[in-house]
Amino acid sequence: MRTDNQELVKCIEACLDLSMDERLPQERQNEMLALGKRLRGSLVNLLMAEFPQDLQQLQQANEQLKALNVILANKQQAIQHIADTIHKINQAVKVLDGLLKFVV
Amino acid sequence: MEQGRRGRILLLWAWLVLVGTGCRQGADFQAAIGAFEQSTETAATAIKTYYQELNQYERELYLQERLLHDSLRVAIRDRQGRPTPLLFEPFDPAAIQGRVDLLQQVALYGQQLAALAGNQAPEQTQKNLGTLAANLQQLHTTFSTLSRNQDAEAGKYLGPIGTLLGLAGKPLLEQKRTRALRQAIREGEQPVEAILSFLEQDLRKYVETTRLTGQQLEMAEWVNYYNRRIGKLTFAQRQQMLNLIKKAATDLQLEKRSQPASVVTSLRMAHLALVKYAASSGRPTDLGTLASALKSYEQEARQLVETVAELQKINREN
Repeated sequence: MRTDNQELVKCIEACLDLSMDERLPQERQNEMLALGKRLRGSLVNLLMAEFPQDLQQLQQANEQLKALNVILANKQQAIQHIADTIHKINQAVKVLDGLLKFVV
Repeated sequence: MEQGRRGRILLLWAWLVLVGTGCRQGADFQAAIGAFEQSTETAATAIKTYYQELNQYERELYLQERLLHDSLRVAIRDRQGRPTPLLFEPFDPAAIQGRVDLLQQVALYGQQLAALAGNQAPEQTQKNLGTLAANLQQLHTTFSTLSRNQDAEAGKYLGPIGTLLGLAGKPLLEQKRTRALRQAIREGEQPVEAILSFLEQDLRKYVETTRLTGQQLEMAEWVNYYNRRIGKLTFAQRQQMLNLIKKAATDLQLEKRSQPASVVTSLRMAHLALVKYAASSGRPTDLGTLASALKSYEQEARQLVETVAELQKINREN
């Protein structure tokens, strides 16, 4: 089993887009850049990673990435609720980092 | 008497038309295989560059981040003790080499078809087929080792390579050239298709995801750096920074426009058209379908080579 890397790529692209979006103040742009970078680091680590069959944490991580992309797809909403958006991206980063210990 | 002579002339005429059509079809088929071989060689060379640059690319992004953030230090391990891309290679070099070899074999398969279609002496063609068999044997061993180690994907290549290996060893030249060629193409259909499908997925999975997000990250880093310091930069510094942002934006557009996996898709389509033609009776419509698939393949392969050259030129200038 593997992480849903297509969803992960979408998250990275959305974060990096927001890091160059003038609707956000510079501080928030900086945070989005840092998060985009961390997610990309996870992508590189997870690309070749294999997980045990039916690993619950992996399924949850993949669902979380999908849910995050729904939020990030609506840029206007994501910007209006930027604190919440950043909180959710941070949670996803932690979940992905936590997956590394299950790699087979 | 006169009637008999006319009959013989008519028969001779019909025979000439038949032979002429056959020769033209043979020549068209040879030309199509020549085009297939040339584009495959071009595509393989360009795609190999992407695989070979995978690890180097991560190192460059790592160093760029250090250049643009005063708080980040350069190290071979980070504070958690994890290796950094300065020396650590996130993508296993043996796995990369396995894929590069696989591409080489696909190009070689094209060369062997061209040799079989061309005017080489039977002994030379047989020798080429022997070389192909030896190379495939080596590749089979490489992928066996990779699949036993960490590269689970590699195991999937073993079946198709094994089948190609069997084909290359066959004494195809006992039959007539065109018939042998058609047979080789028909029998090569499944293994070549399987190898190309794997390469296509592999490129999307590893190369395109890292390159596209990496290129976007590079641009975002420069944009962020510029915006954070805009008030402190001189006119000349701003000019220099904006040029770097322009370069990063151009790189990203180039990467998006021409992707290696799409070239493999075109190669697959051209190969399928070649197989279809080899299995058909060689009607002009079949040849037309083949020609059109070969043309779009050639365009995609050429565009990828141009993109690689353009990216290398931009990087040399900076």
